[in-house]
This record gives sequence, C-alpha cells and structure tokens, in this order.
Amino acid sequence: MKTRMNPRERVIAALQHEPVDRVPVSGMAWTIGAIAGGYSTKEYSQSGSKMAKGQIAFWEKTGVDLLHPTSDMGQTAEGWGVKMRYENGLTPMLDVFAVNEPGDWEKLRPLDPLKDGRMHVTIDAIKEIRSKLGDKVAIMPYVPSPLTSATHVCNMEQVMMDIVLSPEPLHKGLSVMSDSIVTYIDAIIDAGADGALFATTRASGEITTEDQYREFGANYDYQILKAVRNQGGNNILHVCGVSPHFELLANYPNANGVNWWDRGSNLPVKQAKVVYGRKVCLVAGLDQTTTLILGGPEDIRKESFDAIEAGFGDVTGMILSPGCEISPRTSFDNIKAAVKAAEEFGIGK
Amino acid sequence: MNEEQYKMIYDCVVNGKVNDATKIGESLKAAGIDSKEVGKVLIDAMNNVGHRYREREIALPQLILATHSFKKMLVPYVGSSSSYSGVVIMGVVQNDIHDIGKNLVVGMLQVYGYKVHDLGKDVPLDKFVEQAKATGANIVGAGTLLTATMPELESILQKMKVAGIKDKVKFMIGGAPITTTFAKKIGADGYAGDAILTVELVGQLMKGNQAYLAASEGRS
Repeated sequence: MKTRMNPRERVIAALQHEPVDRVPVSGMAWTIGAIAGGYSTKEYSQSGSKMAKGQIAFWEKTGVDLLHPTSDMGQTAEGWGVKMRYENGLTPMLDVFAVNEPGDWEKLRPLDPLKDGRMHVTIDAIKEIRSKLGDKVAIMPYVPSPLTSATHVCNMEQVMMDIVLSPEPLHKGLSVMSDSIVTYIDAIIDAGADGALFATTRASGEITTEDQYREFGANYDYQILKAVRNQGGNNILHVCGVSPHFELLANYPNANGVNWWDRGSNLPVKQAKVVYGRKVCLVAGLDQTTTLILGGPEDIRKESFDAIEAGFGDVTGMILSPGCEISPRTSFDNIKAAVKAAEEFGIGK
Repeated sequence: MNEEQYKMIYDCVVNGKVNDATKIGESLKAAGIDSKEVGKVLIDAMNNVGHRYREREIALPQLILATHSFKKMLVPYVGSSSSYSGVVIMGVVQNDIHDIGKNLVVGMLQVYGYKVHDLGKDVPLDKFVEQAKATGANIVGAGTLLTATMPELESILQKMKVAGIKDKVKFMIGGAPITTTFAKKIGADGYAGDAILTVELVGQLMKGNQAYLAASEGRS
C-alpha cells in the first residue's frame, strides 16, 4: 500500500478489498451540485458543463473522494417519454408518467444514451470532471436499474400491482430498459467514469419480497452487470429501504460495493461488516436524514468515527457515505467534517 | 353474516382479489349485510395482511392489492356510515409526488373507521391547515419521501400554531426518510414507520397521547 493514495486509487482499492491509507468518503451529492456551483437545478440538470462545474465546486468545498455526477431520475426516464417538473433548490420531479396501463410497457423503445433523455448531461459532465481533476476524484454516476426505472416511467403503485396482475407486459418493459441501461453504463465508462452507482432501490423487504426482487429486479440486474464493458467489480449497488435484501445484493456479479441507509435500516454497519465484510465494500455510515441536516461538524465527526470503527477494522472494504442522496439543504461543512474525520482516523491504532 | 360470506370477504382481501372486490361488496349489500359487519371482517383480514407484511412474508404488491380490494368492496357502502372514530387530514407535502405510502395509510384508516380527507400529493402547506379547520379534524397527517422536502413538515406545524389549531389538532408525520429523532426534533405529536403502524399511532393520538412507532428497531 502506498503511504498516500490519490482519491481514485483509494476508492478503487476499498472496492477491491485492498488496503487503503484512510477510508474514502462519498458525499452522495447529486442535486446539491447545483447549489455548490451557483446554478438553478434546471440549468444544472440540462448542461454537462454546469453539472461538471457544480460537482467540482462540491469537491472543492468538501474534499470528497468520490463524485456522482447526476441530477435526477428523469435523465433516463425522459427518454421513455416522462415529463419532469423543475422547482429551484429541489431535485427535479417526475410529473407525467409514460406508462399508464400495462399495455404501455410494450411501447417502450431502446434508448441511445447520447441522444435520448438527458443521459448526455452526465456523460459530458464525466468527461469534463475527469479532464479537470484527473485522479483527484473517483467518478460513479447514478444509473437506475430496470425495476427502479420502471418506477420512474410509471406510478410506483401501478408497478407494484403489475408485478402480480400483469407480469408479462412488465417483463417486456424491463427487458427493453435493460438493453438501454447496458449502453448507458458503457457510455459513462467510455467517458471516464470508474463505474456506476447502480440503483437497485426496490431490493428491500418492505417493497418487494426476495422472490419478487429476484424475478423482476435481480434477473435483469445480473444480465446488465455481466454485459457491461467494465468488469472487475467497480460498481456500487444502491438500495433504499429499511429491510434491504443484503444477502442477495452481496452476491451480485461485478458489483463490489453496496450503499444502503445503515442508520435507518435493520442492518447497521457493524453487523454488515461481520456478515458481509469479506464479500462487499460497505458504502454507508452517515445519516442523510438526521445528522447531516440537523447536526453540526462535531456531530458528523462522532458519527464518522462510530462508522469507521465499525466497518474499517481491516483497513479496507468501506467507503464512508450517506445512505442516499443528501438533501440540498445539507451544509458543505458537514460533508467536509466527514472527510476530516476520515483523515484524522487514518488507518486507526 | 354466514360463514361463507365471511370467508369470501376475508379471502378477497388476504389474497388481493381486487377484480372480484366490487362484485362481492354489491352481493353483500344486496344480501342485507350492513357496513359495520363487513368492516369487522375487513379488519380481521387486514390484521392478517398487516402481520404478514410486518413479518416480511409479503411485500408492497400484496399490501397494495389487499388495500385496493377492501376499498373496492366498500364502494357500494360509501355514504352509508354516519359515525366515525375520528377525522384525519392526509397529504404529501408540496414538491413531492410520492404518494404510495399515503394512499396505503388512507385506505387503512378508512377500514378502521376513520373519516379521511385525502388531499393527495404535492399539497400546498396552507391547505393542510385550511382543511383541518374546515373539517374539524382531530389529526393532520403529512408525509414526504424526499430529504429535500422534510423541512416542509415543520412548516406545517408552525402554520398550525399560527392558525391557533395546534392545541386541538394532533400532527403526525411519516415517509421513508422520517425517523423518531426527526419527528421529536420538529415537535410532531407522532410518527409511524409504515401504514400498518399508522393505525396504532392514530389510536394513540385520538386518546391524547404522543407516539413514535418506528418500523425497524434500528431506526431512531
């Protein structure tokens, strides 16, 4: 291990379970990049250059090791016909869905990441960030899985009902979306990303049973992760919810990291380290819903130390991170405090 | 109600036979079964569904179908009830369109005998207060899925105080990123981690208590 690693080396080493000089830190900064860069969320979400400048500004203000140049769920969903609504300071919202009845799933068409939706915004942002920062940062943009995408192009309640009542049309839609997502991940890798923050957001027990997620989620996720250009595991799975199907996620192909809300779910970092620590890199530790928005730098320092002590005993296999996108109202100083805590802890005693 | 009718209602809800529900409701009404009798079976069935959901034997698809089934079964009885256990305002805050949890809560509270005024999603904050005053509500319930819009929940509470209704009307919150810590910090009277727990929460609030019911032991 090098005495001092650059951020890109640090993130990749942690994902590969190789020793690192300190725990790497992600700020899970998506929309907040607009605020960091002084842009409206609409400007930020429609211009690769503005997204890049916003992300770089966030990096300058906080010193994180890992960036996720992303604005909103509509980046892919718009390609399938979804209409978005923009409110300044907030993540753009899904406004009008493209799939409104089961038959609409069969109308979805494959997307070209360079032309359709706003995937090109992230692709352009990656190129600019890599060009300006080089190895000073690792880059893994948010990429929605097919089942997550399904809940972006269609009301989630309807998707959940289609799982039981209309599985065949839903499967057809998921299959088309899978092909598009492979080409999107390949495009971000070509642009200079290190991997994807692959959103398997519905893989949690209060949303789907494990069997349902296997059939409608993992089935397609596996195909994608096996087909993409970047093999070797430098992809991070992102799951929302309080009962993540961690056993399933820990055995995914070509994804060494799992990001989840450890402070709000039934799986704290300490337990995850014991059970899954040899299989996956734990991407967690900071509470985006409480400490990061209600606390101050000293609270963040304490929470960071608590997480690092629980998940970094083997000096690898952890990225200190919020469990989901941070609120645009999160103080930059709080994210900076997490980076400072990681530096202060180093490799421990 | 005979045993066959009981089983028909119970089976329809527990197995989420949403396409049969309205027809069953119509047949029960035609047979002279009143809504209270049907409601008792629906509660039995939803207790079963709720238990299995909390145990993670089933998930959202089955819970949604069960909720839709009982709501459809009650359609023929709409307007026939004259007494309610309480009046609840429900809505998702402005700039948030995630309403799946709110819809489940509305359905659950209806079957447990509450009159629910569903304001929908993306609701202007003043509307919560206006509707609470207009309907004489006992409880205002507001939710959000987004961390970005969590502060709106505190704003509703402030508006209730300014309007002078906070002493009479309880305020409860919910949504995926909400925790007991957050609920207490902003001064909400109650928080529930899922739709099933919300029924228990509302029961406590109606008694004048505060309650914070997390869905997972890990959440605080």
